[in-house]
Amino acid sequence: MELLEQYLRVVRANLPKDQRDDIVRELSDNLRSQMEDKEAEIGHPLTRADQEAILKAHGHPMIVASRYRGERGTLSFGRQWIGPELFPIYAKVLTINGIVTAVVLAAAVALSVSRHGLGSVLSAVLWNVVVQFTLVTAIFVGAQMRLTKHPDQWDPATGAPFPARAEAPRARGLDALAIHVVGKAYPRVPRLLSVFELTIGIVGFLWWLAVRHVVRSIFSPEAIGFLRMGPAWNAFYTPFLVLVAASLIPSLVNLVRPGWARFREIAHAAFGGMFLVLFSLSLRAADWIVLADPLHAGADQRAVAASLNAWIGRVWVLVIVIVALTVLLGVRRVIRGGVSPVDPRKAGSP
Amino acid sequence: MNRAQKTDSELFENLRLELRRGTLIVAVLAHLREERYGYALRRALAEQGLDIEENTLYPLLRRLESQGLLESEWREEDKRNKRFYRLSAEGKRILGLLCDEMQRIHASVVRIVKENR
Repeated sequence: MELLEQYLRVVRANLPKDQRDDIVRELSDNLRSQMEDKEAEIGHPLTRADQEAILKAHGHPMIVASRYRGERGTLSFGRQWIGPELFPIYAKVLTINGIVTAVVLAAAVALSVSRHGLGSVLSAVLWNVVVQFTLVTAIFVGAQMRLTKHPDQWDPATGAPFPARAEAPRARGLDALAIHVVGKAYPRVPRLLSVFELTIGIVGFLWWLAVRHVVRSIFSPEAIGFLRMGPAWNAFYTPFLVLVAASLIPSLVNLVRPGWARFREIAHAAFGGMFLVLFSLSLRAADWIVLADPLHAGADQRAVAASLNAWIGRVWVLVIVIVALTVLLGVRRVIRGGVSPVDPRKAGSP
Repeated sequence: MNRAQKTDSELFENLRLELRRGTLIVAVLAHLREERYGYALRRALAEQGLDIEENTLYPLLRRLESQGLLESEWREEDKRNKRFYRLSAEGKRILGLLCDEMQRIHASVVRIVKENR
């Protein structure tokens, strides 16, 4: 009944907190009763495929959980674009995104409004908000369309979209080459995961692009005029930008080739390694922020610059430790052969 | 199935679900004059020709309980804890009213349909 436990875990995560345990306990008992009845009917223990069929008939975990939530919000105009099962998550993502954007933009506005004028700053803010809203909405509309179009194509253990194929397709062309080069049987990477990674990557890329302008505004003569970005910033900004852009490639590839799961592991470990090298090289630099006019700077201004560079150094060390741990875990997964292979053709075994 | 047929079938399905929604509550309340747990209730309803999805029934039971029409109790049966539901005193009173109302509506609808055939 491991599959049932996994299914219930996904349902549980989407239930109202105060009723989670009670609802899952009851669902668990009802589903077990149903499975026992089925066993009695067919005269042998249920295979994984039998269990999957029962759970799929019971419904996608998001839909099951949505029936227990009081709220029935949807995004509808003309037709329903985001249904009640995804709407609460959509609303949460928009709220978190809105708060983060508001905080970042409030700082940028406060520092640059006197320089650029309220009109142009508000127009930039509005544009940013519209782009983020459109991007998040488009992702959820896509997920909803998939859920509606293929109500039974999902993995009962995770709720992730999973193309229902009776038999794994025979690899050809680049797929066959990839199997030869990077491994044998491998699980599929859900396309939704690739879309999610791409979205995060694109947001990260745009954020890094925007940082340059925000930093210029912060260190403009109207704001903190006695500082400016130093040589380290100029030397490392573009390599980081290029690496962030390049790190989108594995997700893009997996979107087209969901079967290249091992490629994903290797590529992620490789990009992690490249980030680690770049972070380590940049750690040596002590001049991220320098004085705009060192000859006439006061002792307090020198202290601020030194303190900021010291803090950047500390944050860099923390980032390097986190990236190094991630890379180590990634390399370990690659050496061990990735996540345990799941062959859809063996899904019928007990 | 062409687009028009598909739209017709979707429309019928939506109307059918609307028609069933209220009557299902009456059927569930009536069945719970006798104590049952969720899965057993669903089976009992299906045996009488009233199939109901788990996703509809289980949340409905909780809603009826929160409205005071049902009472529930966790108890062990067949070496497993199950949540048994039964009609509360308030549920019995409301069920009586609903049955009277349903019969009145049914009689009126039958009369209207016959007269306008």
